[in-house]
Amino acid sequence: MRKFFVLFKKEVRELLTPAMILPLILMPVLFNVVGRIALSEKGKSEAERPGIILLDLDESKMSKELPRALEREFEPVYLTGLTDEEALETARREEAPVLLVIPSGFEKKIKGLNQEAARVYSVINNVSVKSATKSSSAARALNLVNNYLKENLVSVKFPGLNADFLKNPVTRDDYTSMGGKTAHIGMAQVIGFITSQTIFIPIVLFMVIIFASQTIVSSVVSEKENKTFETLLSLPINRNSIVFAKLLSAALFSLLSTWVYMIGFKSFMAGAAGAAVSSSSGGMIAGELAALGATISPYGYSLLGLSLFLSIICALLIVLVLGLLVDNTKSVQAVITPFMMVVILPYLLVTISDINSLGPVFRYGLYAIPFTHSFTVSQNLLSGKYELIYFGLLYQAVIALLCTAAATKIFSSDAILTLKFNFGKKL
Amino acid sequence: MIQVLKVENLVKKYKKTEAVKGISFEVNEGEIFALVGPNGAGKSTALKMIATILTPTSGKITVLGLDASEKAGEIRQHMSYLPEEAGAYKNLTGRQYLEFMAEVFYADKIERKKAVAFAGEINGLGERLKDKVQTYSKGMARKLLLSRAVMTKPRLAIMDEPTSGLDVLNAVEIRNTLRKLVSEGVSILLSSHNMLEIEYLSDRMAIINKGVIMDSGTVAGLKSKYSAANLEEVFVKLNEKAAA
Repeated sequence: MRKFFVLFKKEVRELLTPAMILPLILMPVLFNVVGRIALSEKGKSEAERPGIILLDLDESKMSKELPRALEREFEPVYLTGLTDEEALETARREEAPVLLVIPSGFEKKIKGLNQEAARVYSVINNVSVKSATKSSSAARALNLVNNYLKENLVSVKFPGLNADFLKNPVTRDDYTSMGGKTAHIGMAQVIGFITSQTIFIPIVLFMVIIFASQTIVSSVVSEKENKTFETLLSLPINRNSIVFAKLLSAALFSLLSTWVYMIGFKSFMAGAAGAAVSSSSGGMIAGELAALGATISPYGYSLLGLSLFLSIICALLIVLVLGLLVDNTKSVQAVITPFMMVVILPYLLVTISDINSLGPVFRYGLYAIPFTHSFTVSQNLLSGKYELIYFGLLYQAVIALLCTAAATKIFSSDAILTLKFNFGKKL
Repeated sequence: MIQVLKVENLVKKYKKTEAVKGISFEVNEGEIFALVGPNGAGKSTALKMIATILTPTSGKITVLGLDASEKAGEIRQHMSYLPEEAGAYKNLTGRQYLEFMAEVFYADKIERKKAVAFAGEINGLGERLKDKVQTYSKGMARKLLLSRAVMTKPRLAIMDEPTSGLDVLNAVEIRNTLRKLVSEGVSILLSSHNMLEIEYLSDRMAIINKGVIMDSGTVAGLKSKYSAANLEEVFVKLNEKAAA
């Protein structure tokens, strides 16, 4: 055990290079800065009312009142006597996202209870987060115009009648039922909240696997490249200690890297997507989700943790063996890229679809990849499919044992020096 | 005379090639024994098997009376190996590298300090031991590695081409160090294709080519046996004899 810790200490020292530490410090800071900029831009665009150009070709009493209706959400610029092109030029100059053209004969048609089409031009001035927030401006503007006209027509045609009732005679009071339990909450909120939870865990796992793989492969390949491997093997150290010292140091380093990156990533996402849920509304949703049974229990988290642990072990052992195939850093990508594909495929499919709805060949092919089970474990926990989780854990444990046996066998045999793939061989 | 190493009918076969074809020799306590031969003769493969890194296809290796196929762990405690193209961990300083190696061998702190101090005496790197290994010249790195290999005063030190790639001054310095170590009780098995170096260093030697030991003995004995002025002539005559 003493020699294991001597090796472990050496591995950690080898990992703590400026090339490894600097990104750990800089990336979260960079994420945070970008996130803050995005948040500030978003805040600014939400605070300021966008401009809107209203080109009135009718010049009636009704059309002249429309700017007042639009003032609730916009800074309207009222124009008359221009062509559409001339008004568009003004919209571009004023950086207004919408040009609304009220056609001639508008009031007459509306009062006659006939539908009229207004030409709506959406003006894209630049492509950014800020312009993305203005994409709904045209729909909002038309909605304001329609609401104003509805209220106007009701008061004229049906004096004394409640305009709100006519607009929406039926209102919604949402309940969602899941797994035999029902809660006073809309399905969209339930799905949104579950998705945010089930997406976060695969992202963490994906990052851990990527970091761990890169760390261990560079550890093995640098031993070969720096010609330290043969000396290490000739020392009075159990070869399994060499394997496990490398595994443990890579696992710890990858967990640290992931933790640091996730802090940065979280602040970036909060800024870029405005995804932060206020504590009060989050608390209310969490309460309803608990009533619905759509939360993960401590037991569920322990299953999730075990699955993540087994995935990391599998990844580290597979990459450790792959690392033995090459003897220089230039060839590392040749063995790592196919492995990354195997990790990325289930990750992408889990985040965009339900694996269980895929065809049997594809589905079982994906389940043959040990990482798939960790990507799906949070979904299965929330939908109560525990048998799939237990099967996944058993399968991952078998694969981890097989990988451990393979790695220790290779390390205790000649294969550790003779196993080689010549990727640089010219055809 | 105590036998530190005994090699009997050692064979190593890879898929298509037989690198070592049944070699036998022994190394006695306090001597330098050299395996001499051209590149690809099987010297390094033989040394790796003796260093317990590679497993022999057949044959027997006995170190200090212990069978290497059964007691590899115990043997490694009394033996050291310096590969031909060895390197040190570049992110560590020279001292950290030596401390790491000493820690592998000794649990006791005082023993570790003694070993590191002895390595310092051997390599003569002084203050440069505080610098990272990546800043060392080839000669400095080789001296560090050589001092690592002997810092625990092993009963048997295996050195594959110990002066390979070094300039004359560094090579001479390392040869003198090896001679000094023998006087302190370390037995050395080394390989080289440099016949001049072998003439200067070795007490006994074996000439190996194509995985076979062609002859062995003292340098003077072999030169006399083949009426040769130097070892290169001995080697040429042995090859001519083998071809005939």
